[in-house]
Amino acid sequence: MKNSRILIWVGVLSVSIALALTAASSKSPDRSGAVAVETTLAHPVMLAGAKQTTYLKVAVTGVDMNPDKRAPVNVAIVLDRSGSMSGKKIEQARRAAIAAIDQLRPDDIVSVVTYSSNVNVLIPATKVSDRESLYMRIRGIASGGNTALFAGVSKGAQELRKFIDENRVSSVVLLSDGLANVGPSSPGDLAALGATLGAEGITVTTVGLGLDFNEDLMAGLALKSEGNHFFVEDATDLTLAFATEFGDAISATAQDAHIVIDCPAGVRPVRMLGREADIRGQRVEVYLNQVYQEQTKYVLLEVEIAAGFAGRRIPAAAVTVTYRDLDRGGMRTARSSASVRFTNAAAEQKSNEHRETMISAVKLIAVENNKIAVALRDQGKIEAARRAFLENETYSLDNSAKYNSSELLTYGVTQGGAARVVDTPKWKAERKLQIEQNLKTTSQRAVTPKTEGSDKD
Amino acid sequence: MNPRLTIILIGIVVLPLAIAGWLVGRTVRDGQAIAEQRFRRLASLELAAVNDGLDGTFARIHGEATAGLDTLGSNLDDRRGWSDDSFLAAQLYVLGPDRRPAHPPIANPTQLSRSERDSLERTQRIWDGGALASTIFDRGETAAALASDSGWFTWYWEDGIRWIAWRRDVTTDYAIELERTRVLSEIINDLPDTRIGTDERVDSLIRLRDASNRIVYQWGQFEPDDGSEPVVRVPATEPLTAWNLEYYAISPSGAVTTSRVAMLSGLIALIVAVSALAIYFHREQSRDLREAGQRVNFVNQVSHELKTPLTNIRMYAELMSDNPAAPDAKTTRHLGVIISESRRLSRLINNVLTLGGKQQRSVELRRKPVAVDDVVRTVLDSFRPALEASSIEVHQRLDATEPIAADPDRLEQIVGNLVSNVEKYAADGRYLGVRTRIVEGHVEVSIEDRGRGIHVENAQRIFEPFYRVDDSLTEGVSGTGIGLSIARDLARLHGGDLYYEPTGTGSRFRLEIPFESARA
Repeated sequence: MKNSRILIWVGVLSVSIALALTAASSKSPDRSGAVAVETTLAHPVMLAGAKQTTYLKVAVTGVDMNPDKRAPVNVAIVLDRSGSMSGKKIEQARRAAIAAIDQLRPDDIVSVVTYSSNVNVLIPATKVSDRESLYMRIRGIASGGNTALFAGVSKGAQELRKFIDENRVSSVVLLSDGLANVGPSSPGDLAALGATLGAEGITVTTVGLGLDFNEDLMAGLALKSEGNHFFVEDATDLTLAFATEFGDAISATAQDAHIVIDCPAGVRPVRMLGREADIRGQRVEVYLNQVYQEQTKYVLLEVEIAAGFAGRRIPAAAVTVTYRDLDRGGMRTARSSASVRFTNAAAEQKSNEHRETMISAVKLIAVENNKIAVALRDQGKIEAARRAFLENETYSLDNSAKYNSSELLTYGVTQGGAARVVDTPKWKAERKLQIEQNLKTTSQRAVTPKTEGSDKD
Repeated sequence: MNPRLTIILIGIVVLPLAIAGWLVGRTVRDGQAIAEQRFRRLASLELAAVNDGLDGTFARIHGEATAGLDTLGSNLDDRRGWSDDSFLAAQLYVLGPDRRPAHPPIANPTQLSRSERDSLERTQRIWDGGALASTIFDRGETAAALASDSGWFTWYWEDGIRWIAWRRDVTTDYAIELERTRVLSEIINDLPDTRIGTDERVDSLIRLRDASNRIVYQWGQFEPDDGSEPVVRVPATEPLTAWNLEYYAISPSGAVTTSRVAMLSGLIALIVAVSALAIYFHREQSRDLREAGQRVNFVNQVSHELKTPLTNIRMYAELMSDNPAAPDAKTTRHLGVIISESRRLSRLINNVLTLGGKQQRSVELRRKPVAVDDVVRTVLDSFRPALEASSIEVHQRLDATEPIAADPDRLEQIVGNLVSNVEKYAADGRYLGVRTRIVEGHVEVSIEDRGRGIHVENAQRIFEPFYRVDDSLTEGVSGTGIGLSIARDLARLHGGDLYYEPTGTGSRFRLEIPFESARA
């Protein structure tokens, strides 16, 4: 039964990847670079004569690549083999790891690190040439002991570094079902580790298994390194999560993207929504680890624009994105800009409002509201939390009607759902779902993920 | 069965066993101590090697963290760019002449980025207290040494230790706040992993603990119990201030157990062997004693059987000799020989019986009032023919007429043995002095001769039973060697004693019998 389920997932995944790849090759992409950059303002037309706040969105979209030429990957699979993993979980983890390696090509590099109280580099970084011997070793993984998560991820990253190559996508895939309890173990510690690995170009994708893992820690580690985070309640769904992450890694078109937003005088960068950025004076800098084909990553900057004269157009931002082209190699630069025009007609401002940008902004604001609600629930203020969830539901649903967005509708519905279970035993699972959803939203990958959402049924 | 002998036998068994046991115990303990010491030394060496590795890690981190500072420009963008490009650096600080940061631009707070503000919050204490500045500047060294130098500075903030790598160049002083987690990750990456399924570090485990005693990292396949103590704990290298390295392992005493078992089984084998020997000797000894006892019984019975006919022989010979219708002189002489020899024989039998009785602890005194002088006279009378035959002149002065409570037969036996000795061994002195008197509550009988005396060396041993002085004195003289021994034993049985006193011209034996025993 489980076997057939895994096979189905792997099959679905393979087909979807194949489809994506054929679709990619049939189009005629813009061959000027591996990414396309678009800069938009939520309000490209603003009322004159008053200081106003709006959102600036920079969207970086990976263009399609020749599927035969896709960039080789360098993956470290880090598996929790602590005592709590024993039984079905470790069994499924082994299968998922094997199914994941099965998708790799011979020139890809894989390593497997397991950890409990100690760390074991089970398979040091190696090319995927002799699969059977790798599978043999993975099948030998036994469970028992504590959870040295920090050291496990560290050693996984260390294996990646042996073959680190700017033209290879480097990724740690972490699976854990528990709390870290050996070595640095706080969510802050792991987030900082994620940040430093992310800065190096290593993403950490985390798969939280069951209901006992620390979702703040796992999501933080993923967020700070720009990896994905999956909440997998049932071990039999593990293979899917792994396959999704591997599909992503395989489809990367660019990495080490450095976005520089320069605002002219009169446009003040206020804050970055849902993502950390260096804001120094008029310059904002953001790093993106990878851009995947057919996917868009975006950053959303709140800006304050000084009062202008009606009829005048001023530049709002000049954006430069430098990135490594994984298709053809070498660093490339893409440029984009946005401007704002001032008017006296309120209706003109409204009619020119940029829908997509507003939807993105609303989503990120809804996520911030959600975080506040979750924090209230964490403090035991259940009624306040319920109110906050309901307010966020209203906010999301109102805006979904306003901008005709099904995404916001879905998000709003989940907020209502959270409000209903906030004082029930289901909250434990609900919290993990909320955190996972927040991360998916803030990771700001805006393309139909064909294989995501196993846990949404 | 003689209890003393049993005790001695037990002693012979127990003492060597105790010594052997103690030696074995000590050897095992010493072996254990030596093994543990050696083990601890090896563990310390391993930890020292780990510390050397950590030194290398920190040297590398310092090098990587300060790389590129030589060519770093002094404008804000260059400096920020340098920080951004470094994985290790959380924040670059360039110190101004006032020993406070000139970069980041604290003088112009609006220019500070969020990460710069965060770093300044973490390091505020260092700048305000001047701790780092005094580390860098106040080294009290020569200008040349100060011109280019580098080092570490540590402090604590929130959840643990933080590091600054500082460097002095000719023109500029840099302090780099390091990313704490990155440093931890680098440390862990440079330390070995646990090779499960191999024979690497199967029985040991090394732990790195931070200042709060939390485990930062550990490797090794050994799983110590919770709360168990490490074999060795050493402080970790600087700048891991107040961190420790611990070495856990299966106790080496476990390895020594085999030798302890071997030694213990050897000890048990020894106990069994020695005990078996002791039991064997004990049984042999008791059989000998039993057999000796049987022989003594036999001799006693024979002696008793001899006593009655001998008494009859003596009695009838004396009757014949006392008969006034005396036969001829020749017959009288023959009768004298019979009487004399039968007396000698009955003395011998008496002595044998006394000895046998003494061995069976059944010699009893039959006390009655008796005058010592009478006893002495009786003895001298009975010896007269023999003394005369040896031309021994008897000088007697008897002053103990008062009766005392004593066994007259035993007294007679004592004095008889002494006089007999004079007749046998000191006949060539031709003198026998006998003196009795009452002194200070006891009766004293001195028997003195002018023979060749007893050599000083032998004087102590003449009272031992069956001892015969082995020199010209005893040559050609038959004797049993029990006479003096019995005499003294009987004297002591009376509460008195028998002494040997050498005189210039021969030997003197002095017998003392306490007077007051008459009233006892």
